[in-house]
Amino acid sequence: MPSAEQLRASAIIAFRDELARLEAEGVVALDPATRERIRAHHDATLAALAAAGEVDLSVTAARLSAGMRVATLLGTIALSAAYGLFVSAYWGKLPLALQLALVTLPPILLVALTHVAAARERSGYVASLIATVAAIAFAINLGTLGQLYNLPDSRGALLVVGAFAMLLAYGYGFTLPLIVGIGGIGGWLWTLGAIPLGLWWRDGFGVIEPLLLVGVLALTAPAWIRGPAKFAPWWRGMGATVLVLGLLLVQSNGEVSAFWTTNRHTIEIVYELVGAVVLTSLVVWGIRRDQRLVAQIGTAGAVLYLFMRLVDWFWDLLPKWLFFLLVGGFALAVLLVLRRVRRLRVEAI
Amino acid sequence: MKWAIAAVALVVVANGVVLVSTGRERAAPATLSPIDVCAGQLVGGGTSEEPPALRLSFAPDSLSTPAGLDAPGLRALGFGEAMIAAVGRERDSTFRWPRSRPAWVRLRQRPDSLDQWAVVEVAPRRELLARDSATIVVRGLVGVRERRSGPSPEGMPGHEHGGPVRLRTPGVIYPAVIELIPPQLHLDRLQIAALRSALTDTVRCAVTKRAMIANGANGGIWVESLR
Repeated sequence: MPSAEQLRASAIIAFRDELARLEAEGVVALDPATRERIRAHHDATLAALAAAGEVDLSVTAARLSAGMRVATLLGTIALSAAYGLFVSAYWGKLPLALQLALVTLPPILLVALTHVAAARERSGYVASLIATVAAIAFAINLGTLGQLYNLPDSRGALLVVGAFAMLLAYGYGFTLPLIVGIGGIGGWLWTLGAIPLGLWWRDGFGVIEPLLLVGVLALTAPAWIRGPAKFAPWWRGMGATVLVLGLLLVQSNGEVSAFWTTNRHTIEIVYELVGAVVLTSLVVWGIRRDQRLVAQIGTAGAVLYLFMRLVDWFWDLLPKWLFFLLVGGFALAVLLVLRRVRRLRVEAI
Repeated sequence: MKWAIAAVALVVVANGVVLVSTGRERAAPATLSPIDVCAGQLVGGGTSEEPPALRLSFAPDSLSTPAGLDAPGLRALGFGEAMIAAVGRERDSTFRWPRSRPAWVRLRQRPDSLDQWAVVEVAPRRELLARDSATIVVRGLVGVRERRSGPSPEGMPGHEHGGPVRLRTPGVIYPAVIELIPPQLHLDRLQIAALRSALTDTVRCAVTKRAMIANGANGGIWVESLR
């Protein structure tokens, strides 16, 4: 997702292109002094944006940045795998003190390295990579301590690793550790549902209602957590995804509900109704507040929801060709509705 | 800089809490239980990439019901009345498989099969379990299993890999410990080296070595020493 700096730079570049086109078509003719003033202001703004952070000033640069992001992700996975495999290869031959050092020191050293990389490299790609590996190293650290001391696995590790990733994400403005942080803390909150049900914490992952609450919390998090503006779409995107997936899951399998000891069929019907309301609300909310990602995730969820309902209602009743004709008809209807909404939005502009 | 310091502090505190609490517990074991270890219980060591450990295998389909898994015991663990009523009966279409419940489990090494443990007693809290030097106490999950009286589908004629799956007949419902937490106990490099060199019979349990398993005051468990 583009940063605020990138959006401003892109707007300036688009303005220059459009102004050149308007002048070529004879629509406007700025006097040289005004044009020069605007150009000088934009040049200064672009220079300031470039100094504040890495911005792409051309399409080629944007493509290279996309490549760098993919390389960052691959690098994170590869470095984490290398570390994990190195430790496991020599583990059994090491004395306890060395084992402890081997798992305790990497997250600390990687935090220091993140700090140095963030100060030296403006784009933040390398520092973001190191910060994410640090979070993974900390997770390995806690997991290994548990194994060395025969401790039962614990939801606490999710919270601690999530908090660690959040510290690095908010401290340095990195999105990759933010995702790890949301995953860790969200996972911890999800498992809290096991407590009132008297379940082992891991079995909390089999109960959907706390996950739906986590989704709502993440969706609304940008309203009550201060931080870089570029984090907001990630919070909302992850919240909407979790909400959609949770609802789709529970309405098709009532056994994952906390209330499953009551009639499973009733639970599924209730969640079908809840799903219809929530998914529609997500789409409307996304469109009204101009949150494209939320609207897109809501729309994808609503289409999936409709398809699942059609399967439930008509798969056994209709011949297969008629069923797919019906699905196609529904898809067209959705398309028409969305096109109408889009036209209304354009007219409003 | 303050964020980096906070992240480092979090790592230090998390590690410190674990190391200090386990260190204190291990300084004064609450009980010591001698067991016989054979090669089949060992995991890792040597050239293996698995961490060295002593596996806690238990017979899940034991015919005797451990203490604490009767109706009051199951109720104390949080199981519903419908599930408790279904125990000992053939599963019918209305039966809903309950989610497993955490418990504390007392295990005794089986004299007839040294590489396996028998569940002696189950309780929702550790304090409710009796302590003695012949048993060890670990966490576990209690769930429900189904005991079939007839032959399994795999043993039926015509059942082949990739062939049609037969509908299985319902069996009798019974409660059981389905998982131990942790499932194995860590061995340090000296312990695994000593056990690997002493336990030469890797097929049966003909050769054994004595180990002391310690239980801590806070529920911890570890391999204290080898004899």
